[in-house]
Amino acid sequence: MTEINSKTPMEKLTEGGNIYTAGNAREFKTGDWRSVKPIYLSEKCKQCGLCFPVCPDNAIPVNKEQKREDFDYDYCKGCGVCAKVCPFGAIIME
Amino acid sequence: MSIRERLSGNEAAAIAMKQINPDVVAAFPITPSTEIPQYFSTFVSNGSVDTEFVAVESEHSAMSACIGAEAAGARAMTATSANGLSLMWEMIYIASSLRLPIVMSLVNRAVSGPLNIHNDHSDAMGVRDSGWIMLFSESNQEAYDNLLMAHRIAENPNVRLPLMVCQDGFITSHSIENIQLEEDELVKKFVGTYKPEHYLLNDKEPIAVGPLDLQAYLFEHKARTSRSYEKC
Ligand code: SF4
Ligand code: SF4
Repeated sequence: MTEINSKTPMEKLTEGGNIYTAGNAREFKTGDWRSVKPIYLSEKCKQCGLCFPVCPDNAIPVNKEQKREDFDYDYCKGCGVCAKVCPFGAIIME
Repeated sequence: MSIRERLSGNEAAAIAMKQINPDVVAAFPITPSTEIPQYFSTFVSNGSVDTEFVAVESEHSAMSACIGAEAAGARAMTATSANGLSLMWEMIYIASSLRLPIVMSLVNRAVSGPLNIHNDHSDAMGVRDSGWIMLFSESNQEAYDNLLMAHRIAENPNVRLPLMVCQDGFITSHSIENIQLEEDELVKKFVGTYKPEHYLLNDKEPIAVGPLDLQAYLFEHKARTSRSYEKC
């Protein structure tokens, strides 16, 4: 299923393009849709935890210690919601 | 033993649908096909079918409900005519491109205007290239027989396309003709139960239906649809 790519002959495609596995949005990298980019200023970050729940693309990784890490630019679409939400100016858009 | 009867084309279609006993029927009334869902809703209310009857507010919703039901793994049917089919147009393409073997009873009527409720084939011809299989019925008997065959053709694993059984508005839909009906049991056996390989309500296999289909794939999917025609 996941082996399907643009060279796959039509006989091997699924009917109607249906996808017979779950959780495959991960395979679709949407980062290149971005026209502006959020920059994480870790020295200003207070780890308040307000930014990552609002990210529509789950592009702000949170580690096991519940601390946010740098952006996952493979998926960040640059919407700027996180920068708006951050009370400490730890995210700038450029 | 076949049963000798005399029925209008719409009655014949409704009786075929009763014998098929689909899981879902979603329809909106429009002349000259109105009687089909009307008779069918009587079968629902008197318990002669187990069908979920969805009384929608438009034909666009009728086809949408059929698409949802069929993708979920159910057998869905509808009936319409003329401008009703025009209003379904967007969803007609979705049904065929998602390879959902929905069966429709289309009672052909001129698409307005000027307003005319009688027969021509402009409604069916408007969706000629959409990927639906079309069976045209010359008599009430054919309208009945074609509907009995419809699911066997549409659901065949090599085909998997929606299908419309057309008959001529008023000319057959409202004319009473002699007809031979098959026994309920025989029809049930012939039509069989619907067992799709992949369907949305299968909790063992989560699937995505109708995902984004960009340049590298769209033509391939269209070509596959047209190749499936040849297998009918
Ligand atoms: S810019 Fe938007 S998509 Fe990117 S990390 Fe911030 S909230 Fe998420
Ligand atoms: S909202 Fe700002 S301060 Fe809070 S965790 Fe996110 S980047 Fe850090």
